[in-house]
Amino acid sequence: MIKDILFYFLSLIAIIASIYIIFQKDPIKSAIAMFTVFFATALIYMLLGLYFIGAIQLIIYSGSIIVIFVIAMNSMSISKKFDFNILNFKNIFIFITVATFLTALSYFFIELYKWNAENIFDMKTFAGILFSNYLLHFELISLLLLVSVVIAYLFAKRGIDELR
Amino acid sequence: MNSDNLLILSFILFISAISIFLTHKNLLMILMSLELGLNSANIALINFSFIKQSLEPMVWVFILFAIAACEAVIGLSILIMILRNFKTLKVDEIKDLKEI
Amino acid sequence: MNAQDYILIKWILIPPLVGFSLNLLFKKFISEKISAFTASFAILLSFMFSLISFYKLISLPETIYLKEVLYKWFLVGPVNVEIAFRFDNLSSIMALMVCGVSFLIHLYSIGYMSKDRDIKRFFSYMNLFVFFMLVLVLSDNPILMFVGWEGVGFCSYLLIGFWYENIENSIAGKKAFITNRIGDTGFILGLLLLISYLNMNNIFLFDFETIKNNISLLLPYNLGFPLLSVISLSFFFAATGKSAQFPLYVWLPDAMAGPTPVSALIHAATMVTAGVYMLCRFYYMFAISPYALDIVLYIATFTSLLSAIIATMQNDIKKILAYSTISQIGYMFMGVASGVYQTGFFHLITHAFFKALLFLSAGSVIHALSGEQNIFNMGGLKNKIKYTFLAMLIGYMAISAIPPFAGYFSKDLIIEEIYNSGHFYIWLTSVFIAALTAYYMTRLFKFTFLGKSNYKKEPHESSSIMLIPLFILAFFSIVSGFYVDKFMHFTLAEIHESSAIPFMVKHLPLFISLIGILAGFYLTNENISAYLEKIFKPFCLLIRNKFYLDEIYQFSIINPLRWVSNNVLFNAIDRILIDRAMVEGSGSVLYRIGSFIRKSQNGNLQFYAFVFVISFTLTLMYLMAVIL
Repeated sequence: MIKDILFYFLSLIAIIASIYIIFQKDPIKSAIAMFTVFFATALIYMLLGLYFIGAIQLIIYSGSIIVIFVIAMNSMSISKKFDFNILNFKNIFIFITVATFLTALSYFFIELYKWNAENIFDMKTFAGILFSNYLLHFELISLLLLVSVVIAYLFAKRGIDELR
Repeated sequence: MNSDNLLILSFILFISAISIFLTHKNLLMILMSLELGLNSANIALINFSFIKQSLEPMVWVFILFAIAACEAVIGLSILIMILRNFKTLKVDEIKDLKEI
Repeated sequence: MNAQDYILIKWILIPPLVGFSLNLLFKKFISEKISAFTASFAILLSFMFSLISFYKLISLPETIYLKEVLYKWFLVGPVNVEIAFRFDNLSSIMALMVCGVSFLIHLYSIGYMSKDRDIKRFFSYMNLFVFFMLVLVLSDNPILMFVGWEGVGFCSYLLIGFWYENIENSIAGKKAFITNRIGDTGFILGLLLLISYLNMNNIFLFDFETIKNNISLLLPYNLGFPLLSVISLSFFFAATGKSAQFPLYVWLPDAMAGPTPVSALIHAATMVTAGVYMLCRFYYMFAISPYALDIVLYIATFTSLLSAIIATMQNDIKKILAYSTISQIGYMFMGVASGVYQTGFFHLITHAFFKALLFLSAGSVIHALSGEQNIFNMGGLKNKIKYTFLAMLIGYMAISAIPPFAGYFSKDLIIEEIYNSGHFYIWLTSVFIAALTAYYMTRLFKFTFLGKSNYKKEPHESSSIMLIPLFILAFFSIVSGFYVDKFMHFTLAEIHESSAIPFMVKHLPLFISLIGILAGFYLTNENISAYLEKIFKPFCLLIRNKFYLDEIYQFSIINPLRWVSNNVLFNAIDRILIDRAMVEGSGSVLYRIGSFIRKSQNGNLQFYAFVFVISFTLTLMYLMAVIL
């Protein structure tokens, strides 16, 4: 019962925040709103009993991605105001179209699956699957992380060289 | 709290993500919308993991976290390069691929 | 009839072809004299070969003819068309006449065209013409005959428009060719019908012998009009084009714009007689077709009368002879249609002699007066150009059917056969036409040679190379009449007993011709002719303008055709439909489609993403629908 109310509350926050981003002109404010969404999502994961996943969500999404974005925004010195109008017909049309389509699609999925809410996260089993069936994926992810570090370093270095 | 609601949440977040992607002119906003979309995918995935009563989708969720982080880094690096070359972050003005 | 192979027939055809090629290919390397003598010698060779073949033919029994097959021309399914030549009683006499008269005319042209600057081209065309005429005469199937048929039409165009710098000559040449072509459609139609219906009866070889033996198979067919009559009349339509009968005779008077030897050869002796020859070849078909011979008879009589009337009021010496030719060919067709085609054929041969003689002597007169062609500007030439005067006198006597000249025998034979066939009014008309012939020829002769002189320049007699052919032709005009019985026997004719005809009827033509000659002398007197003209003024105007037939054709056929081809075909179809709508249009349609599609490549990231989303969801919905 409490779970349901909390769930509705948290999801409402997430939705409102994401809608806020659509109508927001200021990138900093939209970054903050996005932080809210991620935070709410993490809390929903906690509600479901997936403490580990929720923690990871907090660390990676809200703790690093948003931070990166905010740092980038600050270093790029983008103007606070840039002309963007959500209310012209093109944008409204696009929004309505996409919303309609995706809503239509979602009904298919809802019909397919009914779900029983229980605590199913077992770390041991999780690790077992990760390191046996998905070992290749795991290694590739580590490679991807390495690559992104290298890229970030290279692009930053080139920029410093150009400035000099 | 059931599968329907979680999926609805996932879809609404995804709709928002696409709306931001299609309407905002700032490249930075577009990149942020990608993160939002990946997040909504995560929610859907854990929903399916509960339906299947299996931990396999959880593994995918885990992997998706890592991918989202890397993608944010690389995307921002590219964005900085674009900023240097085109001197603007407005998507309308980055039109080298346009057919005359 | 049975055939016997004889390999010399092709040698009749080869010399003129070689002469043509030599004159054409080596024009720059040979002198004019060599060119002229080569051409004439080629024709002489042809004549000798045809003479040799003729002696061979005579030595064989009556029912055998000579045949030579060169090679298979083409095969269409089971239909087999060969290049084959046939030297039988008809074609042998025709070939001899063509080669002989052509040779004499070549000799004459050496003198007549000696001062022309393009004489080599002239002789090459003349040789080509003789070649095609021989192909026409000697061919053994109607398809090869059509090759010769078209070839002579083409050479006639080349030769009429020989002096092409004067645009009117080219126009006359064009008129001849086009009118001929219109007739050729009749030939093709008849040929196609003949071949297809014979095919239906499983006949696959089309030489004349096979056609003759199997023509009766086509009797039962009926296309609203009996099939054989349709075929015969189509062929006759072609003959009206080639032999200048109504309605396609309009090219012959204009064709007098060519050199006089051309008029003598083509438009007196050979090409215009091709139609008659073709009718003789197909006579068995005409004989069993209902209505066909009657229609031929009526049209020929009408043409003959019409052109004789027109000839009485012409002033140009060559035009009088041209209309006279039309009239005499009408006689030939009348002879063919009367039931004994050999009479028409005999008149063809004698006419070749005396008409060529008349044309050549007219050329001699024109040459003597340095180009004058109007008979009212001549006169009193009797003592100045004695030899030409003699030659023309003989020709004039022959055409007016005065015994013992050849024209008497041939023309009287035709008139007798018309009487025997039962058409009384046609017979009367033919006698009247004989009178008219005598009248206009007398008029021509009187104003050219007798009376007071109206000419400007002093006349000079022609050179001997021009006079010798005249005398040879004059000789044949006198002598050929006496061979009438042998001729009829050789061409397998069945003449009725002449005692069955009443005395008056038999000698009426001669009597009427004499009256015509007297009228020619008397009525053309200045006072009397002025008086007659005053009385019959509208008729005279009508006749002098050739019954306005050229103008009628121009108004009713040529102008509408020109309007249609200019506005409809040129403007509407060619310019608007093809150039604009189809050529440019297809290009611009593609261009517009392209430029429309090109707008989707706008380089706009978000547009691409939008399309992406839409198409992705549509695909997914479709897949979901399939799965569910």
